[in-house]
Amino acid sequence: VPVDQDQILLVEDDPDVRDALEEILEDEGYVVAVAENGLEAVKRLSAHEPPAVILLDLMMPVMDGYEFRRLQLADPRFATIPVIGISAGVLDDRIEAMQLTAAIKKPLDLKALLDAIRRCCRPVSRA
Amino acid sequence: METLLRPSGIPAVGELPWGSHFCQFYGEREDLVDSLVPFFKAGLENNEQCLWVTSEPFGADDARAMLGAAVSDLDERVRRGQIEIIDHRDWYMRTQTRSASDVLQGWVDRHDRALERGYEGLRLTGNTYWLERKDWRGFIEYESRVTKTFSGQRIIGLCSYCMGKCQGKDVLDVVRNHQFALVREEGDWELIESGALKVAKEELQRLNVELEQRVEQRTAALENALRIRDQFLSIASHELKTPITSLQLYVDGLLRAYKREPLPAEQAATRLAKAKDQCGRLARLVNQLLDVSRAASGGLPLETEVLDLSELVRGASERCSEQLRRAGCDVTVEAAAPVVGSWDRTRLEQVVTNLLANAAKHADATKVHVTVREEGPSATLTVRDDGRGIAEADQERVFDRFVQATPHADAGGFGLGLWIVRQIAEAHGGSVTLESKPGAGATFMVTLPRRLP
Repeated sequence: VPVDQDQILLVEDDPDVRDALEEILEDEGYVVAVAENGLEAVKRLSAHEPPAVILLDLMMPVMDGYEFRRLQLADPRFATIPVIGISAGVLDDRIEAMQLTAAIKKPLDLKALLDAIRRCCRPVSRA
Repeated sequence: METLLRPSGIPAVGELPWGSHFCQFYGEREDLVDSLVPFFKAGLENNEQCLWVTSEPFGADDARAMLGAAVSDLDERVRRGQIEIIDHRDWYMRTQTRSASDVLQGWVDRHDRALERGYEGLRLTGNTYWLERKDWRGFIEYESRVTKTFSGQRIIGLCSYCMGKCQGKDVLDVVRNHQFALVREEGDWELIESGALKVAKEELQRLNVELEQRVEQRTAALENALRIRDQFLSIASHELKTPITSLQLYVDGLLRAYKREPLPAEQAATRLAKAKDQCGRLARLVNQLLDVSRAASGGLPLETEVLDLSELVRGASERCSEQLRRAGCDVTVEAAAPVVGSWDRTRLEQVVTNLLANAAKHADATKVHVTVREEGPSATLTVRDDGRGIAEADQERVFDRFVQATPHADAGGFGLGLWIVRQIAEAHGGSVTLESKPGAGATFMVTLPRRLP
């Protein structure tokens, strides 16, 4: 993995949750990019090398996780990037169509989250 | 409304309220069969206790046979005691020695027993064929008291008079002492009712319609309240889970980092401070929920002191400036001259904070202008932005509880901010107004009397 390539794209609207997750993932040795909503994530994908995994909050302003995932699946360049969904709400029947690698409810079970990420990529370094 | 009107079973009469006392004039035996059989059939089918006192031209056996042809399980109902069919001679023997008052009390007792036994009420008929002329006066006096006795009770009474035995004056007596009369002319039944009764029936009908409308309105309002509550619960759980998630992540992250190697003190302090911020965020959310229940159960308690509103607004705006800057809003505060009054400091800070937080969400990165002015006995605080504005239809609604312009969108929070602003303004004897046009910004103005009323 080239050092300048993102391993994890973290898409989360709440600045504190985003900051805390970024801190933990970087502690674990991952290279993390962040986006504050689905639209920002689409922009990030188009401008950079694809990440190994996307951590996707489902309820977000501007463009939510469902809409982001729909666009992602429709674009052959990004469709194969695995997505781990995270949500504070009820995971309803829309989840099925999203073909997620894992869906984790908030408050997050950190071990489950890190396990799911580890199945997609290994950390490049220990900070 | 099931209890108000009962089917009479007689097409010309239609539905009747409890307490009805009416009469019919019959000529032929057929007239009686035509009216009384459907009258009792309707009573039996609607779980009423029935009493049929027969008279010439037919006796109890005839009546039972005729009703039996219309009601298939009549025998069973007779056995159960739902209906009594008594020949007038037997009935007369029971009642002749009793005073009118006793007879009337007898009806009420019978009605009470019917209700005790689980019936909806009492339906009865008597026939006056056996009346001798000499008894007429006393009988009419008795009839005149029946209407009053039945009123307010779950009783419907139909009195049958043989047309052939009534003289002209008698007909007047009879009609006068009943609510309305049923007569048959050339084969068709006709209802003769007094003007007063007509008006009363129309009134009852109107009240019925009105009541149904009210029930519908209330039901719709309750359904709406339930929908808003469900929406609120979903928003509230999302809002509470978010700081819990970040708090837990900061703590988990610290623990994991510590397990690897001790963190430098400065780094540890920074990360603990972030965790502490999340505790503050949670506490604020919980306090908002408490405000809702406080305000809903009789107003927010105020702790007033003499203070300068201008100074308070400058300070609170300063504390919000970071949040507004992140939202792209440029804030100017015009509050130089002191405006002194007696207010609750914490609550007014909340007003400023909520109005500015609202602007940060909805002002679309335009300029936000805050003004404090003294206007005679009052002070005004104005927060104006040049954002997208609010449609007129939504202008009153924004002050409601749990309302968000766009649920789950860029708003965040419980949708309580402006509602709390209004509660605080009103607790001070003041008010909050909104002036806005779509596309042309919004101005919130809080007016506060400088002394509590």
